[in-house]
Amino acid sequence: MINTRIKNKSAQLIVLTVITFMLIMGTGCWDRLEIDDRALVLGVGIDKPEHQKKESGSETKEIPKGGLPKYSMSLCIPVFTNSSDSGGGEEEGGGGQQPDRWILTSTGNTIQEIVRIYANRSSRMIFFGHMKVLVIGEQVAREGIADILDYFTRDVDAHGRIMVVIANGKAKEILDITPYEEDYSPDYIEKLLQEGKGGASKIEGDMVSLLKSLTSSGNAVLPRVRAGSKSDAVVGGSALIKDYKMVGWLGEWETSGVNTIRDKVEGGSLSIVAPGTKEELMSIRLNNVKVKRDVTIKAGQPIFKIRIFSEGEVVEKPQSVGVLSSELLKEIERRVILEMQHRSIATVTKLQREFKADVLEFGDLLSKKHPQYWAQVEKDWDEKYFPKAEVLVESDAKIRRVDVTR
Amino acid sequence: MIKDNDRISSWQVFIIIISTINAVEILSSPRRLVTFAGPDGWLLVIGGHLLGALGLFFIIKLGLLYPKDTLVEYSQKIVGRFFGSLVAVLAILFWLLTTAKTTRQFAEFTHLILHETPIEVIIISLLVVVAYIARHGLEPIARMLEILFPIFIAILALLFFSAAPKGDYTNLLPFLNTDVKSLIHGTIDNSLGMEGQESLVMLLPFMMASKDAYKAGFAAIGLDMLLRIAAFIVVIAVLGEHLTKVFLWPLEEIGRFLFSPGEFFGRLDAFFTALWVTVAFSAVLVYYYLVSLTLSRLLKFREHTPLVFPLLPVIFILSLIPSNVFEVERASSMISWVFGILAFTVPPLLLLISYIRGTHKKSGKDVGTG
Repeated sequence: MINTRIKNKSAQLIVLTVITFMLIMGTGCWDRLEIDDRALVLGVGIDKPEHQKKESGSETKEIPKGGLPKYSMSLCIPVFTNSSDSGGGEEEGGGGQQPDRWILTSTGNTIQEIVRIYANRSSRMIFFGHMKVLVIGEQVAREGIADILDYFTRDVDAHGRIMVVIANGKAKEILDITPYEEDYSPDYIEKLLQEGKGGASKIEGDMVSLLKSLTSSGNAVLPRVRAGSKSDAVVGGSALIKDYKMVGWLGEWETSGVNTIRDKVEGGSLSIVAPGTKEELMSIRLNNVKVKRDVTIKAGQPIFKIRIFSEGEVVEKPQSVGVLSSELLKEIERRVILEMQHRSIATVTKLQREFKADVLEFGDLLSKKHPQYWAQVEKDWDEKYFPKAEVLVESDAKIRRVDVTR
Repeated sequence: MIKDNDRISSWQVFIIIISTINAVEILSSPRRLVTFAGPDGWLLVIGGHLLGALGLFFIIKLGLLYPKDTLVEYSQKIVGRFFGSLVAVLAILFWLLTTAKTTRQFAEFTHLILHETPIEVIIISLLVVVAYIARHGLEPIARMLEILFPIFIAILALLFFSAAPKGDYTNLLPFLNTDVKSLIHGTIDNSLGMEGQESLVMLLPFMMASKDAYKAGFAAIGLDMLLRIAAFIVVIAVLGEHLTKVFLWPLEEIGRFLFSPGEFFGRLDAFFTALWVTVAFSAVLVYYYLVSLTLSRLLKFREHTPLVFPLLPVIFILSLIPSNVFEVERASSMISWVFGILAFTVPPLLLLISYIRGTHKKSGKDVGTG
């Protein structure tokens, strides 16, 4: 609407032109970025650089004279080719097929240095907004993950749903995988980690849960990934982070224990020695695991009480066990109870004695139920008080079903 | 004098107040509350808003004694031309600073997303649009906010409902584990974050039914209180006490990784940016108008219109004064303190003097001693 107080027709025209001009300028032209000017990063892997590996494009002043740069970072960037008439067309002659992804690796002393090198190698702007997975190689993780995390949490585009995993081996191997079931390895890894009902032996969690854990105690557990072959990865078990540094691995069994105690388990399965046999195993699938956690203070020492209630069904039994009956189920229940207890206690013991790291959120529980006590012990919790804390595990189980056969 | 068509309803007053109070702090509010009182931060909101309501009570009571006058006129009647004008000048300066500060905060936030756009361009774009509307008077402003308000509420509700299921509400424990000193400190800080309600010192005479001012004002404060408590609870539940302190804008962080209920939308941060733009725009609009209105009254102009555009460069320059994001925060806190002092002491003082001198019983053009 032109302000009709300007009666002069040419003045109206000028105003109109100016306004139109401003409107055009104001449509975010500075930040306009076409989609095909972006390099969408799906996954990032961080390793220690190989000795004497010279990356083209990294011959810049940033690499210190002598000594190796601190990080070798790899990006998994999908490449969208203009496959016009694919339809079964076999590409023969000429150079073969253009690959559908680019694993771009460079080295540098800080993440930002490496990102800058990427700008000299990739014709498109690196964009982390679609990043799904951050794989940190074991070697780097042992030196500390805080600085790496700082870059990605500060970045506006990277978001809290990024899965952070520790690679058993080199992170780049994980990104190199060409999975069968998904298009790109980051998708594959992300899905692997997300299928919740699958079991308790892997950690589910994204950047936000990791940060939550780290900011409250400096400790965390992260999923472990290893490259099984060129086309599959194996997840399971976890890496234990203490004070922002990786200090060791936890196996699948122990990870299940951690998940159970943290009340983050949705399912899982157990193998128990079948009743009436010496060592033949039968399998129970757990469908419902309820965990109650509590803590009391007695004589200045915390006593943690974990109550685990599991419901399960028999999914596999050896022939020597015979037909199942209610009494047999009760015996099975007993063994499940023992197994759950055993697993939890073994996990707690390992964390208390070997690592002295509380990733079971016990400190968190204390801070909520007994804040005054927590205020006193918080500083030395991991080293002094947690290892001595008494942990009681009560377990109950009910086997409800045996599926279809007797 | 007030143009007859420039009147606003009490519903519009409600919307004006809540749009303005909210803009100021809701983004960083959970972080500030957590810094003072940890998981008990939501208590501070209740206390702070009660204090704010008390301040508002005096403002409205004072305004109703002089139903046709704005602050400029009645303060001159109460304490004389010199001091009254001084009060008006203080108000103008305060609102000027608040406009600049909110504009700058808006620009900083937007700049994160529009990284290449120079911050000056963001500021100018905002101010030009705001100035255009402000020129047209109070009623169009009210109508604009009436349109924006449901959008604001809808987006906020979307954020809350998406985040709520993901939260661990035990993060709100331990309860009442904060010392009294921090509680008081935090409550005061919260009450200072309620800039916006003082707009009634100027806007009361524009109301069609000024006796409803109490209802509108307190309802606005009440709603804001609920919104802030909800925001705090959701943020603490999802992020936990410690992580909330890390982020500059915790609510925005949540938007970045949430999916809407039923996983329908992802990356809610687009909505969130829209929310913030709406909210900041509303606040800047109201303050900009207040500055020009008050100045026009002080200088005895018949209309505020000619002052609007000249103020633009002033606000532009003021908003660029802080040189980094932390200075913006500091400036913002300082201005909040000024608000606290002005809005909570001046109206009761004027009220008291008015009663003592009986100036409210006089009608007519008497300005000065009685």
